[in-house]
Amino acid sequence: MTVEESEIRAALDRIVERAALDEVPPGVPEPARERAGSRSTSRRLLAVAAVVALLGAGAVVVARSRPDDGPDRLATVPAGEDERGGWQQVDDLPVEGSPEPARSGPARSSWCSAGSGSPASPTSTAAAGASRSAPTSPPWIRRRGGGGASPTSRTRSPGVRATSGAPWGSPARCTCGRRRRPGPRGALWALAPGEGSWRRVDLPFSGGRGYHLEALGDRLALLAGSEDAGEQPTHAYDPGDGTWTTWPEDPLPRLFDQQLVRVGDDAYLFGKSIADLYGDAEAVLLAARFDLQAGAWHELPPSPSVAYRLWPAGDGRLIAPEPGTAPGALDDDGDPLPFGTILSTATQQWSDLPSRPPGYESGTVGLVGAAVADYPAAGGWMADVRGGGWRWIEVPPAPGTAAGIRRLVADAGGRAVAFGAGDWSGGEVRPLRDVWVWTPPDVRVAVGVGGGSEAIAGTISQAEEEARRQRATAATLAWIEAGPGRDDPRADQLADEYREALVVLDPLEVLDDEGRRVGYWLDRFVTVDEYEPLRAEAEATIERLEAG
Amino acid sequence: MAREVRAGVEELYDELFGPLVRLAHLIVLDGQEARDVVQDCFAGAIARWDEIEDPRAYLRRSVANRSYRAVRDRRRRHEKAERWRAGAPLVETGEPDVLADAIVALPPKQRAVVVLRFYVDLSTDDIAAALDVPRGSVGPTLGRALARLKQEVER
Repeated sequence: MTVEESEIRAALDRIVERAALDEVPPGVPEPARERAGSRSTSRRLLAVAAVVALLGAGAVVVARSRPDDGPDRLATVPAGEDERGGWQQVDDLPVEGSPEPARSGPARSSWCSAGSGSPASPTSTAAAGASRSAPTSPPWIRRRGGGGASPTSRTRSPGVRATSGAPWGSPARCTCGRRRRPGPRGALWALAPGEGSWRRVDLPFSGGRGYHLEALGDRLALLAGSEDAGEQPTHAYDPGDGTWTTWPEDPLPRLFDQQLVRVGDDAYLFGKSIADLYGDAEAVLLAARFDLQAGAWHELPPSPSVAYRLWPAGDGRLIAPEPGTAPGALDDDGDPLPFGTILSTATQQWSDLPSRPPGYESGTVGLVGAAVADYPAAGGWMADVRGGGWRWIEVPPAPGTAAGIRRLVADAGGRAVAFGAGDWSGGEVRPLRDVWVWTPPDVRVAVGVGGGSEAIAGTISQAEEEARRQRATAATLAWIEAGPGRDDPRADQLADEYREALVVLDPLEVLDDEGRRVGYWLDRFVTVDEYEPLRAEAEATIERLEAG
Repeated sequence: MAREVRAGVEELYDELFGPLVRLAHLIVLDGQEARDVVQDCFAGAIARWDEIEDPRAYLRRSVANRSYRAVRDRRRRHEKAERWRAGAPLVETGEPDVLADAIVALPPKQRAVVVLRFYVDLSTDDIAAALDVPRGSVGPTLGRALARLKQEVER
């Protein structure tokens, strides 16, 4: 029995019919003026940011509503900083832009593969330097040593489409999978930047198979496809001696949404069981560890989440940064399954993300400060893997385009590069070539006011600043719980929001306005006298938490 | 905005609002959210009306894309999650409608592809463009959706 197209069309009509939709149009809307981003979530964040900024100046002030007098800059600290936080536009991509950009790379550098979507089109690579200092010159480096603006024949790949590109080895080489005619399927081509030319890498099998490419530091892995019939082991390529190694079969069932990530001497395989694609149960994330030295697999406990992709934080953790839970997805105990999760490679244990940002309902979530990460984003909440909390960051739109286009944001060594995507406003896609680099500034808090309540334009800070923010937030909580703030009518609501924003491992000192220590913030405020008997227990708790 | 352009916008708005709300609803499964999506898309389009060559195609793609982004980004409100969890159909029906319920229960991407293929009659390329997904993923997604619908109908 099959489901006929006509039956599906009729069922769709019935869904619409039974929804009894209100199709009476309201008035023609005014043209959109606001930039992308949730004003409501920004407003919620303001309360924290405004107090933090003011606490930094030695005062304790509660954010107040203002009359609805339209946008009006309230304060920018330090004065003169641009509104986009740490974003700075640099030279355009030195290659064709792409509506489907790809990127991968080792820590502290960001390799971006672009190229048009048509077969036999120019494809090249460029690299962004990743020093921690602000860029004083355009960071794009033509890998063949030149500085021109357009690709030359020496760096055009031989008719490939860069659908799966990966830099690997040292010095880095870029490899692209051949996906289109002419020529046999399944070919790999490697670009050695120092040589400036492409060479073919023979594969350990013949014919086209569903593999995808992953860079594992000094080697390359062809990860077995998930939805093709038959056994397909994973193959690894060592550029040093030009040999392929076939890995033993992994212990997981056949997977979709596969991912392979290297951490130290191990490669971590993630994915979800194909069997769950068609079943009632939500597909949870499965994992296994491959010891590259011993050549052996070790299965890990399944993640209690439906995470899609994990990124290395650079400290041994792998993070899927989406807060919230999947609608309708329950674990065996009937509890909702979260979208995000953290895997500690040191302990091989899963843990939950920090509490969701105050006011967060949904939207783009990425990482900042990660060793390696990339995700499409127009802006939104980002998990700060260094500070341990959440930040609202708006990705700059391309000049001349509307806000809201999702660019590829690539993290590398604490900096990020935003580029790529296509502008569809003209009816046909226009690949975007502009490039933006985000650098963590020292202190950068911009606060705006409008629409009757406050809205924050951007808050970005370094890890040191994050620690100060946490202390300031703890002080505010203490002020609410044990100080004059407890009489504020909004104290309960503020306290709830601040607790959500606070990720605390260490007891935080609470200082008064004159810098005197008056107590500590644990999961509540305690005075100095109250803390002393709790010290041993608190330190033991911290040790347990740090041990996973 | 010039008066004649404004008149053209208003005429198209009246004509397309209903059909676009229906399209958005099939993806977001929420009547009010569907109206919001269409309003937002019109607001965005009006701001750049002079640059748009084919407003109908632009708005259709814009509504499909924004609706899909809405569900993909898990902009499910709590009560909707509860209804999913309880296994109750999102469409209130007088009698069981297995196929409609199965379509409603599809994962967002699969449902969006089904809607754009069978409700809007878009090509694979147009579906990929509307949803901002790789072209190669459209076919497999549709295949999985159809397999799932078949499984539900046969159950």
